Amino acid sequence: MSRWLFRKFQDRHIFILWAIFFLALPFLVSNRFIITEILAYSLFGISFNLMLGYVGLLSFGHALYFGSGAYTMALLLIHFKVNIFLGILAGMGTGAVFALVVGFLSIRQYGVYFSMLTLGFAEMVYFIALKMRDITGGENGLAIVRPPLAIPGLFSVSLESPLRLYYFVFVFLILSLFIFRRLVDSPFGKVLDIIRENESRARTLGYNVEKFKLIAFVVSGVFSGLAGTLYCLIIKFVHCGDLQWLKSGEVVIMTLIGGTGSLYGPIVGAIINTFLSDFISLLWQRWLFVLGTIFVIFVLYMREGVWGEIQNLQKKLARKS
Amino acid sequence: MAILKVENLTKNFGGVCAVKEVRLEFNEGELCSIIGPNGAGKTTFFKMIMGLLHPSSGNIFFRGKNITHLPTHKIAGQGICQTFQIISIFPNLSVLENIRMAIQSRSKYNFNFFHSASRYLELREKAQEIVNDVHLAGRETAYAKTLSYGEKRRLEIGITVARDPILILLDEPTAGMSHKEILDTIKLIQTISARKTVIMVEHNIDVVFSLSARVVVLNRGEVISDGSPQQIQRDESVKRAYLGKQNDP
Repeated sequence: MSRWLFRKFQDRHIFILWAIFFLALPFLVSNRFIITEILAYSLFGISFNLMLGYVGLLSFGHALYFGSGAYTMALLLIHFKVNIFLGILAGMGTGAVFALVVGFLSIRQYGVYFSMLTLGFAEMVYFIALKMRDITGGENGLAIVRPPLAIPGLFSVSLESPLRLYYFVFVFLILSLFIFRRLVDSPFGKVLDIIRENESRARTLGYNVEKFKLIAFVVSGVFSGLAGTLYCLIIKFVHCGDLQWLKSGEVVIMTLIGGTGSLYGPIVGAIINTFLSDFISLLWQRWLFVLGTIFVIFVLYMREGVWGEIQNLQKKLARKS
Repeated sequence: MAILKVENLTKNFGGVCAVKEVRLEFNEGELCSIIGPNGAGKTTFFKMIMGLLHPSSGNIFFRGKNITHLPTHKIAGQGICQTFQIISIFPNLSVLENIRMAIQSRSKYNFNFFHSASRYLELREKAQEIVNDVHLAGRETAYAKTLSYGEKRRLEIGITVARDPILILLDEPTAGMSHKEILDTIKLIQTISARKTVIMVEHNIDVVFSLSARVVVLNRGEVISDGSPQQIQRDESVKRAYLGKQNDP
């Protein structure tokens, strides 16, 4: 078994290992609710990291796409009893539209200016949502009834069973991860790499850098919106806090702790973050202190995050053998 | 036939005039050097052609088209490519990948989201050819940041050539090189400049003389001389620019 530690893993193997891990997880952990949450947060982190780890831009307002996806699902369910798949598509569409608008206005900026702009736009929508309390429920939020997994005329299966809900969300995570893997390895993904490496050189090679950044931003918005719709289905509740800077900050911290260097780092970050916020918070009110300390340690000493360091260690072992 | 035409090009940085109403024409197939003391405005001049800086006034025409206010990537698309004073490559990518991305830029695959980039063999093959042309064979898989200085310069020239540009701008291509490296670079530039137009900013006079048919001298943002290397050598105003005026009160 230990020989496994010394192998040279390809990305394909790692993807399969994570898939197996998540397939088996409900039988390893009894709290099905928390692990389903982890799935949704993982997806949020992975989409967010497309901008941070791959394009190299830190968006501080990503909760906008997550929260608007969640609200889209909730409002469509409440007012139109929409089919679950349509709701999910609509949530992704909302994420796309917001990302397109914010991206178009922010993408020419750099560094802290970009981050502040994305934060600003997110906060703007947050405050508008707060004001439109009749529609959004304000801070009290909206509760939803979880719709069945159904295609009208074909089948309808209830998602009330935690196990069924878990695997439903799992399918979306794995499909999304598969799409991201292809995207990152594609010619388009390679352009994002060189934009991050040396933007000026990318320009002088004829690449329209703004266009590539904007497309990446919209893709990130779409899948963050997806994560939001799934999250709404999981907790059966949405409130303005899902749009707020705290949520944006959460995904930033989670991704940095997990590691920005690959697709899988944010998954680790989501696990750590959810574990701390849902378990440790029961033991110690000041659990955020733990999260904060971990964050500082990682930013100072382990820049590549938990997953990045694990990968480095494994590669060292593989080289020695 | 003038391939690049610069009309009254001016660049002011606040109170400082870096480039002052420069009027120049470059012919197709020419290899022209631009020389001048530090601060003469040579790099600023290049930056304006490449769209990395906006001119304060004046116009730049490339093959008859006004490219003065075009963004950099569009200027690159017109067929101009540049190497920089401070080497500009992709440090964490392999040598082959650096060049492959330059070739990919001219392909139709850039907005392909779903297939692996390695699937497009013709891009790799062309990249390998260029790796060989710039004498980096055997180093394909090395990360660009691990290359020696001379190798990095060759890589940058390789990236530029991979774009198959019509006009190549070389900003101090031999800066910081040993004598042997300079000789190799001269040979490389001779090879790549066949059938292309090359404008080169250089400080090394030997390099200038062995490569250029024409030399333009800039001083304090203005063209003070323009002719063959031999003419420039004899020009008094050029000597004064480099050595300073002898008889100032």
